[in-house]
Amino acid sequence: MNSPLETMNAREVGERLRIAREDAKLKQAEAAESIGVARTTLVAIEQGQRRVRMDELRSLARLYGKSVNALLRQEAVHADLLPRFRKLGTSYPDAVERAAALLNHLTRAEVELENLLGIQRVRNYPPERPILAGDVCVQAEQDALELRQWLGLGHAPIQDVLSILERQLGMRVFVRKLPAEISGLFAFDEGAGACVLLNANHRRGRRNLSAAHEAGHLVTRQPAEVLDRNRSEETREERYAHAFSRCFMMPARTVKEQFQEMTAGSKRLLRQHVILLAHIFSVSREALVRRLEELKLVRAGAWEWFESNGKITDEQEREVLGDRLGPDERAIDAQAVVGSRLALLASAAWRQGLLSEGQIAELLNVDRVELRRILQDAELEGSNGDDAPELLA
Amino acid sequence: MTPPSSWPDAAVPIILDASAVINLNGSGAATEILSALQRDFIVAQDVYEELKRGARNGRRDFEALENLIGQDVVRRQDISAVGIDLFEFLTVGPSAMTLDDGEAATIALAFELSGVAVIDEDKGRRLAQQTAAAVPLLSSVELFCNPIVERALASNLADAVFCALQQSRMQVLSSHHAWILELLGPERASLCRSLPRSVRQP
Repeated sequence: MNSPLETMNAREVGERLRIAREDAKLKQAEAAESIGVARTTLVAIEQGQRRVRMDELRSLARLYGKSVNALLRQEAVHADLLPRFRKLGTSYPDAVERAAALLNHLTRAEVELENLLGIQRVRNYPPERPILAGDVCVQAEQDALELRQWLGLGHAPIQDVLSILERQLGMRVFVRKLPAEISGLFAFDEGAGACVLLNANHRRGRRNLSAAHEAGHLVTRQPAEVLDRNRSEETREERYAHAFSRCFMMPARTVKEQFQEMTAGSKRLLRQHVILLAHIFSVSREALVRRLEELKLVRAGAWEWFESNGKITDEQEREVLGDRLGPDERAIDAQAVVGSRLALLASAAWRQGLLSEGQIAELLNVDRVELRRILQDAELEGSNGDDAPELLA
Repeated sequence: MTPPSSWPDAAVPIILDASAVINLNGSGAATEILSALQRDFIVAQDVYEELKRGARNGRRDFEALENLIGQDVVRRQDISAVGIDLFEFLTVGPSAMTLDDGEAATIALAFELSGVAVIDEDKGRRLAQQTAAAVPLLSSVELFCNPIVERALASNLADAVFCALQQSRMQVLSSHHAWILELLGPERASLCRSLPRSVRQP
């Protein structure tokens, strides 16, 4: 019998070990010392010039907090999005580093499960529009309108921008709980495609704008970006993406038309106007008012006026919108340890015998009992219930 | 009614996969069950490491395993050169043909020690039969339905099994469904989500 380890491409094995070491934030010298070899030997292993032995592999896997199987099963995905964030040249706090690691983890898990199940994600990315010289906001407005036309959205308000990103563009969108200062992360990887992580703790309107902001990064093919409140000096790319999100979610013409219709007969911008318009465009109340200011439909400082005069409250929003204010499905989904799509993919892989319980538990970073709960809850029919109707396609 | 079982001679070591350890812990009667059986129970070092990693996420199974080791009802052992090739075959390769390290090490150690592997999952059992056909397999439920355990736990047996099903969501092979249903009764069985619907709602 041939050794499976020896039949694997040594360079590929080395690359996987390098990524795992860097994920574990260990230096080559530390890893080398733990398995009793010189640093140069570890370098040779990572470069594929020297084959790793099974005993060394087991020691390294333990040191890196991974299993041998997670490192070397054929279909395991080793997409490494983190260097893209590190290359941004900004000193990020730990929270951003953790969020980037979460995006990396979710992307790897989803890609591996899709590959195993033979699911081909259709990418329908818009034409690339590099940021040109001149006013980035003007370009962003043109590009946002162009994307709307390209998607067949016209000028109509967008109710569910996340679904458009997922279904029409083929982006990977994850919504999980993140620290308040982080709105979203974007990364583009040739293998995994465009990946977005949005903050489930943010309200739906704000999250929609963050999603549109990340779509702006796809249009310009940014390798990675973090939408982070703490970043004081915005880059041209960030200013572009901010303007893109406003124009994509609130096209000037439509906002003007809706504003005119809504405020007919009124001489003042009332709270119910703001609430209804924000609801129509599925954006935050603040973003809506600032867009009205930008379009010179109200005077600058309108939002600050509301803020210093009793604010616009959630209770007022509930009074105005009533039953129209449906549940925030994405935020509800993010309450679960694993999102519903990943849970369904994992359940399918498990049911088909493609991955074992232990393999999935490590892939999703959940413990076994939690995983059993996820797998069993994903199958209301029960673990062996298989008398449900068959799918025809 | 005791289901068919393939219990080996008393001298044969029994290697517990992480799943079996978790199910025993969930039962609340791990010490009683393993002590009553008086066998050489072993966990592979990789299973020990997996449960140790789980402890960082707040799971109590590692602590419970440490207690079992401290009470000398379980010991841990790493695979040696004898089992390492099998471990490699079970961990390196296509996903559908490999297992996680704990499951693989359980089978490899059983092979190395001419022991029995306690594995519940279909995939683990299938690959064990394909790669190490000589290794006999038991499932977690067979630890509970052994006549020695039935006598030792007596009226507490149903509670222990119910807890393993509820707390650890223990998987049950179809050959043991009837035993579970008879032991728990339909009302309690209906509360156990790890049982297939046909058993929960007969």
